[in-house]
Amino acid sequence: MTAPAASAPSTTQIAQVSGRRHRGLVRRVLDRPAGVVSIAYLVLLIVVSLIGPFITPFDPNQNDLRGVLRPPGLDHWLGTDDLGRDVLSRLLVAGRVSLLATAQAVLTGLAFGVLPGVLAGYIGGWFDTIVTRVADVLLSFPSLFLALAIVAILGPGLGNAMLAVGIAYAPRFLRIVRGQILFVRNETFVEAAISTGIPRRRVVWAHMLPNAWPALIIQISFMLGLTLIIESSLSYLGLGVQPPNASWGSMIGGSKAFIEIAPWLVLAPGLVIFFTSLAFNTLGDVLRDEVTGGRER
Amino acid sequence: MSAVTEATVESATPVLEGVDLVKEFAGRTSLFGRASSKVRAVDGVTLRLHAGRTLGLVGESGSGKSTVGRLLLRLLDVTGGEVHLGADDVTRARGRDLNQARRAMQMVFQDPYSSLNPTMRIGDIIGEPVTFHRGLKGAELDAEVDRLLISVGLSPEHARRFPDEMSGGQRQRVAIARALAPDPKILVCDEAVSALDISIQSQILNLLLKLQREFGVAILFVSHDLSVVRHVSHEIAVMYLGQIVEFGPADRVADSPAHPYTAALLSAVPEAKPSHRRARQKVVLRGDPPSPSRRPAGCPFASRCPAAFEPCHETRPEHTPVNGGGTAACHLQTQGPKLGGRSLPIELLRARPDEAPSAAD
Repeated sequence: MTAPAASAPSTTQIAQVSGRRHRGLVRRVLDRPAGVVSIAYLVLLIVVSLIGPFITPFDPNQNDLRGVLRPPGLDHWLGTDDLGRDVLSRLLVAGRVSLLATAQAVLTGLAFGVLPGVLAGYIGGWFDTIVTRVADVLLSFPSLFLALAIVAILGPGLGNAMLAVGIAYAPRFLRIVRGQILFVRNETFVEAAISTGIPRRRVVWAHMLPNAWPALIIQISFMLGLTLIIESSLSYLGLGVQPPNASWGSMIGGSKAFIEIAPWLVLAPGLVIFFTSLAFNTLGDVLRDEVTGGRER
Repeated sequence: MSAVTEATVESATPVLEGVDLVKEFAGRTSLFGRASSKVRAVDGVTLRLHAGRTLGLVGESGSGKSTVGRLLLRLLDVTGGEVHLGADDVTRARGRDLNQARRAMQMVFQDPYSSLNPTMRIGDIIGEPVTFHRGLKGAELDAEVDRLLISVGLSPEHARRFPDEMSGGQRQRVAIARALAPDPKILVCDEAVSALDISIQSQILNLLLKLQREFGVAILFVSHDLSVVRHVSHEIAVMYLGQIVEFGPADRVADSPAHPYTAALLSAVPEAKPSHRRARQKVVLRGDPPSPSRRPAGCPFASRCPAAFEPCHETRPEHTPVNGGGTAACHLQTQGPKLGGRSLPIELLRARPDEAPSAAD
């Protein structure tokens, strides 16, 4: 049994996800060590990223050509880069860029995925067939490849890149929501809600969609981890954030020439990306375990 | 589609009326998407509900009784026939009109474990129709939810709970409170007590009767259990294979049935008193009901009826009046023994060994 540490939930698991189990979910996740640690780390990271620009020990874009490539020390805790800029300061500011970009991509995916998914599941018929086919076509491209193609058309820039990634994500959210809507469509409580004479819109949004949230939240958690990597990859390639601003990925990309004489330049952002991605995925695992009830080995 | 059952109740206009209702479901589709056969679940049923009265609808599984309830509430679209809500024809009502009509007709479902949204609090489940239909908000809404909870025998603090924090009986009370929330004129109870423990069943039945006395709602009580139906109903309609075979005042139908199927149903009800037990004779039906996709030309019950004779297999019996009120659709009333409105003598139903029905399907 060689289960990957962080795999997206399979369709069968998603099908088992039901609204019944997800109350008290936050508390149950916090009861698990992996849940507490990853949430604590992510909360800390978000807080630091929000206040980052105000607590930087140095100006992150200030060159100091007399002190380039200094190793970590008391002055510069994480050393300086090839232009003498303080790595810790840049890391703090870059965190905000990376996290916002990640959130932007996932929100874009939700914006383009949830509504069509709800409608496809609820209306069914030919509408469902068309929407599902379009989603399948989009899904057949790897996210990074699709993002590269869209960036090539729209030009480099983090906003464009993340919009592209978000659109590439939409089909995944669409499929989950559609599946969940299909799952609850014939439940008696939905028929009961219809029978009370409340508008259909309300039946869908208040009675059907909430049952899709647990599955959606699990997926969001995994996607955040994945997006962080994609954002880093794009920025590393120079297609994301543009200099002199930094994201974690561009910090690695800009320092790759010095990896032998100044490894801290790559290690610091590399480790942050690693741990952040790990935290998102671990949280996704814990959520999935708690929602599906089964703790897989 | 002519089996019209005349209600014998006071001539007041019914609050809800289904006329000649027909419902066909597409049968199994073949490999290439062609519908193989249509299943006629409801075949020309006419029902009238009156304010403050309870109509019991009995029949076995698959008789179409639940489908009738859903057709009346327009939860299913009719294939034929009409639904009248008071003076309004709501057969084709859609969207806003339909939601408006539903304010007057509400439903209590069989299984209180699946009919309440697990993600919503009790207060929201009950409050939602109040808000939508009656426009109450804030403190007014809370007060109304409290009042509804109390009226079904729960307490206001239940409003904060989730369905899975309550027992089956409590949940069914919540379902009843939700149905009462829009202030309806009609309540359709679809096997509303079948999923509950016996001790809870009677509580819920008494609650329904109490609410009917208080609010004067008309109730359609759908159940497979004739003893329960008799307890709560003023009139009883007996369904078999999508048709009403007998209709009449509850006591008359239950005490002196005029249709062989009703008699068979009755003899299946367990009797508590041994003295009664001996006096009654069992009518044991053989075989299964015919498939609703291949329905017989004559009486739907003919293939299982111990008293069936020639016309039963060829022509469909009309409803004829029965002494003591109501009607029955049986050839025995007009031909052969010519009962002419008398109830069915049990001797007719005793299986005759010489002509025991062959196990023909």
